[in-house]
Amino acid sequence: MDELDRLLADTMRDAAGHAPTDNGLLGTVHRRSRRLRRRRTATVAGVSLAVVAVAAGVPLLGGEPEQLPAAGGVQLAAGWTAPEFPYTLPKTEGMSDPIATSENGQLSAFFEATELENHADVTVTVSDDEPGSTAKATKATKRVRGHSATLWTVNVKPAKQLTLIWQESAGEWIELATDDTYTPAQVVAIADSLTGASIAVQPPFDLAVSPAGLETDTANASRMTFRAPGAATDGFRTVLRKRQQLTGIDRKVGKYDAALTRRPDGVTLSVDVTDWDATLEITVDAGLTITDADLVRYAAGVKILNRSNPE
Amino acid sequence: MLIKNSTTDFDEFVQGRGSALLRFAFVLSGDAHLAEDLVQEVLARLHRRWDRITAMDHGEAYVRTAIVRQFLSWRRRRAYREAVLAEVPEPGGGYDEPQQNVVARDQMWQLLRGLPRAQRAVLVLRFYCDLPDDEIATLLGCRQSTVRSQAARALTRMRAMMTEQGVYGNG
Repeated sequence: MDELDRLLADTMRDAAGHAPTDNGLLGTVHRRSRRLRRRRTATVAGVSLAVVAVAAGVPLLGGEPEQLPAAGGVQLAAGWTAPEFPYTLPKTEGMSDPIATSENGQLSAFFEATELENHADVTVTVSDDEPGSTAKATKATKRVRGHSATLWTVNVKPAKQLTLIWQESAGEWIELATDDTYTPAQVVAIADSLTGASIAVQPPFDLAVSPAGLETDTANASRMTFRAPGAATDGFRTVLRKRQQLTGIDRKVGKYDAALTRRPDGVTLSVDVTDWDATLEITVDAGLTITDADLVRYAAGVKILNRSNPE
Repeated sequence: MLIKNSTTDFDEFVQGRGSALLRFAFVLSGDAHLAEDLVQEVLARLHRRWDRITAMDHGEAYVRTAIVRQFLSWRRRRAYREAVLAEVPEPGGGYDEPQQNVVARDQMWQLLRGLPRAQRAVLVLRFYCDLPDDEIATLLGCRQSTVRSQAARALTRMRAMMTEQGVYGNG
């Protein structure tokens, strides 16, 4: 064992002393275990009602499925259509199938490396505008898919970040990011191997109803947000957070306590989802109006999926 | 191993070994919240299969293996990879004094947090758990040569960075 080995061992033993305590661990584990048992059926509206309602294709708290008007603003429509990421990489041993997400309107697909000797994680992002970078990077010109491309190399430790950017078509830029597990030539080869596909974004929730006419802005492990066409920000946000103490509880959503708060800048409905040890927070900004009844109806139609991860 | 027979129940195991599992998960992940998540998630998933796990001779090793595999497959890679070595503070000079050893360990910890997950896992299993490469390979479900190459790559990078930073001397 040399000096580095000894320092590593000492560092790890020292760090272990700063680990979180096991206070409350047993109770939390039991709650999560119960949550796992319920995960396929748990909904904000309640287990049995949710199963029946989803199977029947109707809103969970009753009413007509197609048009659920709200006064002078957001209207709720049945279901939700997932955005689709338009490319994929060839299926390769050592790489997982892609997981598509949407962040601030940008679609990305993450290909996770499961064999790490010869492969590295690859993230492909499609955007309307040319991606920029503020990090110090060296640039090299490459040829990708018949287009001129720029390979950015950011020299950080322990692995250099390689990012290949090119304009695939008018109004469509592609960014492929990975690390120096791959050589620049291999990065170009990966980019060249992209083919057209339709990979649906995986949302954290099933929605019985969603805001009609709004575009999905973000759909990741903890949030689904929507933006009015042409708006600068997402005005309708659904976020799953780690459980917070609710104040001002004034109603029930399904079987759960909830608090609805109206402010000049918008309205927030917080639901104490005890099964998931989480708080579901739905916020609609003032630029989009929604009635209390519709907000509650929307919340009641949120089915939290096991892939979700509170933030 | 503490899980020696089927009469040892799940609650006793969590109460008796939970702290050690959290320490292991923290060293593995480098993040307190992620460590708690890993341990909670793995124990919750194993809860229903506990009878079969208690029947094993090496039940705790099974739990640790599950934690490692959960860590390697965890999707929250972005947050984990945010730790970069460029943020390591500049050292103040030599490292002969105890306080400077503390600084060196802090810097080493930051470097560890910046490693790819698989490389970090290999180092933790080798240096924190004192496992030989063949057991690490079995635990990770890969070849011994893969373990060796992962470890060599990680150590080479760390050695170079530590030398640049002047964290240790002639090593």
